[in-house]
Amino acid sequence: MEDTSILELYWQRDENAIVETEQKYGAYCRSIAYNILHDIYDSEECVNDTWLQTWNSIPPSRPNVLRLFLARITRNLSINRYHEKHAGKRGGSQTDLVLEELAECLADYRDVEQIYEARALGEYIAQFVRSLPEREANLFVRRYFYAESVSVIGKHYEMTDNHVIVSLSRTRKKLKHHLEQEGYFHE
Amino acid sequence: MNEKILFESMNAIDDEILLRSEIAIIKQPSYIPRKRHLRLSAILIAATLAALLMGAGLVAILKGDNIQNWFAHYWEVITGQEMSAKQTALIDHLSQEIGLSQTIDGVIVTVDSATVGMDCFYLLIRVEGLKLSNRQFYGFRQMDMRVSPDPIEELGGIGSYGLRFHGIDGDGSAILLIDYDYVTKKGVVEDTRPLDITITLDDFCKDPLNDYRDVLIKGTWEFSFTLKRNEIPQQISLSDAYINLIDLDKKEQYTEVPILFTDILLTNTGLQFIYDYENGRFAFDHHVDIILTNGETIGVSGGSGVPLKENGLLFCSYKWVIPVDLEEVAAVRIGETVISVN
Repeated sequence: MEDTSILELYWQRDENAIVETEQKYGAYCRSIAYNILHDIYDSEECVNDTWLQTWNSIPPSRPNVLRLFLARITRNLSINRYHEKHAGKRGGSQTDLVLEELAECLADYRDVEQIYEARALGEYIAQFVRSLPEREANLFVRRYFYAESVSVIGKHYEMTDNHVIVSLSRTRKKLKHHLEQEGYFHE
Repeated sequence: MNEKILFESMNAIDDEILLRSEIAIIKQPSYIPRKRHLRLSAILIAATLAALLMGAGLVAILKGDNIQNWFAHYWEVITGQEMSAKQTALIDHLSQEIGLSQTIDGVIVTVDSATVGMDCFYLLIRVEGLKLSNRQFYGFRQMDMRVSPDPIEELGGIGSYGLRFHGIDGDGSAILLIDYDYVTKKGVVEDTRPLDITITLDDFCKDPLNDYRDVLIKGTWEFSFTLKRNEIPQQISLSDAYINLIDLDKKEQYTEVPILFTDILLTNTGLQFIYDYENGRFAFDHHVDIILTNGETIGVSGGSGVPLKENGLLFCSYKWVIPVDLEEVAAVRIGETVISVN
């Protein structure tokens, strides 16, 4: 079913909307949840929560790209669940590695939460990714939006693991510099 | 906590950039003579299947004692119905026993049996001798497979194989499926010569695609055997159809354009078609599946595309996750387009 038809079902409060969404995007959302949680059961629960949150969000939302609307909900729910389950237990997981890499970009700053509340950080990130060459941007979003492993990214883009690691490291340095330039992050 | 906030802030990345990253990993036409890799779809399908199995409470009774029983079980999971007698007969007809095992440190890896199509095959692999959890994914750190005579070397084209973890069987062994397919620059080629296969599987792991994969047993399991290929699958030609493809020249806005698909050929094991992809301008990002006469659907395990030498058109070939008796097929669906099978 076309996304526009699925969205129309949500607007008509027709529960088939969830059935159609599951059919079309279930595997997609499960893969996003699994990349973060690495647990089949937790991933399945997160995807079920995604359907509920989507049902509660449309209307009033009318997303331009339904799959990405679902992706964003899924990754938010997944990262929250990940933190609930791993509170006080850090290190050793794929998701920890992704988060540690991101922490490098913010190592010297303390007021991120405040900036985030001002909805500025997201815009800086978006602006930064827009400025990247296409391939570099692709690697960055596969790693930090989709939380894919280095080896999976390497397979997709036909690069060695080491090449992916080096490329991501350079991009993180650029991001750190970009955030510094914005000036909001000085202690 | 800051890194979590930064992770969440990635949600603000533009739709166009996220879509572009997705499009870039969709199998695109390639002039690379040979492409061998594990597919992402392996994760997606394994996750979907595992979830289905859990939902159905069927994990403990997986029946992977041979590939026919595995497909029969898989069919029930996907369609919610038992295989018909004709469908069972088709799988039997295309399947053959291999029965090769190798043991390293008490871990027995078995290439149990095969189901063979015209330009593809599936192999059932069992791993026994370890206590495994049905909450985890398992697989090998690395896999290599050689096929001789190699159709890609002979005819040019592109091929790939995937190794998928499908769950834990009732006796505690891991069930994995290797699927192999190729598409040549000569299009559809009927070839019944036997195939000599060599497979090496390195290091059995928990979560093999994770950067922090946990190697459970180090070692290399190696197998060599011959697959018979004397069964030509059934074929049905379908009518041409317009399918919406993504126009990659329109970078500012997500745009789909209807493109004519021709030479659509449905077989027991897959679907082939040709379209003018204008040297990569149009990207194919659609589900491909079969709609059965009972309304259930069967999807694909993967696919490949290769430009045809003589006219620059793109020849694509997709493989069903299970071979299907064509008498039970009502239609083929590519994206939103449904093509009736008369």
